[in-house]
Amino acid sequence: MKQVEIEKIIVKYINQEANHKELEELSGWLKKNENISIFNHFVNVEYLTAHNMGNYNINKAKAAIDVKLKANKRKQRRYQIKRFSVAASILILFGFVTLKYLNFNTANQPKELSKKNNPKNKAILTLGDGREINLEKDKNYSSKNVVGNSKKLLYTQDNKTKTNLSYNYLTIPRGGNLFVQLADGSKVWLNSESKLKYPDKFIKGKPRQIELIYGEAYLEVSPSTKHNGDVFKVISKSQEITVLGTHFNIKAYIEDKKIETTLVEGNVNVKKGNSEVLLKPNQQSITITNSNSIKVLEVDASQEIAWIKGVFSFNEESLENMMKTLARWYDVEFIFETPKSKKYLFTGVLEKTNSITDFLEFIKATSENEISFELKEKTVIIK
Amino acid sequence: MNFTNNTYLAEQLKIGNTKAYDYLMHTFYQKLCAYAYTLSHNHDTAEDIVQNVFVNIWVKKKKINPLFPIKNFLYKLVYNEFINQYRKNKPVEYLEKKYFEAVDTSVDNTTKNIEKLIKIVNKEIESLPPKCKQIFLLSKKEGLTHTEIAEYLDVSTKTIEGHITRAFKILKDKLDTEGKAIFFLLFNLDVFSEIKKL
Repeated sequence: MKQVEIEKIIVKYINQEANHKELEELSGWLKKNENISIFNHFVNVEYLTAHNMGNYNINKAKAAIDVKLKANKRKQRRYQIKRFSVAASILILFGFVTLKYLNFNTANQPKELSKKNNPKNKAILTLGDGREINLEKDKNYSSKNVVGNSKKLLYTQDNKTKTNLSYNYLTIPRGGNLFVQLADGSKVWLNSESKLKYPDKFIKGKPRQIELIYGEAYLEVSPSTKHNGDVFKVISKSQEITVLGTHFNIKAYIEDKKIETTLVEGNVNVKKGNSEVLLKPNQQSITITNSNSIKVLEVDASQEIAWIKGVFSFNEESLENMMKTLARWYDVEFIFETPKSKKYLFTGVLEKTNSITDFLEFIKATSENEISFELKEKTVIIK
Repeated sequence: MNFTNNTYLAEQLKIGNTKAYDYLMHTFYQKLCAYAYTLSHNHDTAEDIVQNVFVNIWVKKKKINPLFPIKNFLYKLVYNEFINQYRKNKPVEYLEKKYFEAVDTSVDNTTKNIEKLIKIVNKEIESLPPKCKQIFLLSKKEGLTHTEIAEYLDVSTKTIEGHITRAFKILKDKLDTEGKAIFFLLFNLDVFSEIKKL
């Protein structure tokens, strides 16, 4: 390309006037290293020119900063941000532009709805022989080596050697959650809409193995050193995790077509087909159903496991993903009337005991009414 | 001790000395705005970004690290504010990446002689051919698009493109030669001080 032409394109690009074709030409031209320096010289002109062009008044700026600081103070007084480790009690939603002041009176909200959508813990325990036990509220359940109720199940390992394992299934519906301590002392928190398969006992000298058939679980695995080195395995779909004793979260919802494994502490080995990765704390692996590749991301693990503390925690989460999470907890369906709304990002922490109407109102207020909702029966329509 | 000492400045900022903030504003506000403008291509956005950075510095003053150059810290905060608030963490495309790298290079290369370079650019803009200067200023100072300038002056956008490219080229060539001269001068001074030591 002629020098004159490319110079024109560079200047148009800097002035944000270049069209698609020109952008492509420039991209191609910049792939050559010797051209970078020419490009840089033009950008340098833009940079130095900017120092003469802006009418940036310091006194006006100081006044503007004062106003922003005052707004910031008001905000801090009204919303003391608590991390969920300290039981988040206040909702903080940062809007996609700036933090808006929410002036929202929950007292005026219809109460029936919040009651209707109030989650019930109604997990089902399926025993090895096929018997089903409803873990209902305020009812205790006990059997050979297990005691529990609608909120938790605690297994104990008896010392009798047993070669036949009997597998149990725990099915957690929408709006439910349950804590189960397995026979080896490993702890499992199950989120809404999840299903776990596990033996009622573990055999010495064999891998301890459970299966998250679908859904989300947080595990604190009892270390192998306490079990003669027996490793712990978690199967979900076609992914296999090998653990020696560690804390991690695994999310494998049916409709997501992917599995996210997030390590909180220790280390785990994630295997999918013939690929394997060893995760470090605050790393998350993502495996896709139809592929054997494993992607690893750096994340804030405490964010991922906020759900076990009874809060929703969203960090620049899209409204679409937020609605998926809410749907599982409040047992509702949702429809986006305008696909654009799916992309709005929100950050905030909310207690799960809030009603869905509260939640929707907060989103509406934070978006400055750009997003609104209509609740019909059990369907949320997002406008 | 004065505020040109980084450690002292940082310590005074940490304890909330408003004079230290005044110094920060007077020394960096306009330069940071110019930087933010180069990133965002908009004067209002640029000011908003830089003001937010100053608000954050005040709110999080306890976190200032005296071992880290405040100036670098400010430029970094401006960049982060731009990326986080104005681009909503959209992935940066190849061309933009090259552009941001070029801006970085400019910031690094000009930091020592910035006042002198600003003067040179200013002088050269003043001595651009009249039509060329007028169009360049309408674009850069008033923030008009090429089409808007074309309508305003009743000429074609091609003409506008021509003039603006010409202005850029004149400034670029001047900066190339002047930049070299400054470098040469500094280099000579260094040689002198070396000779004195001998």
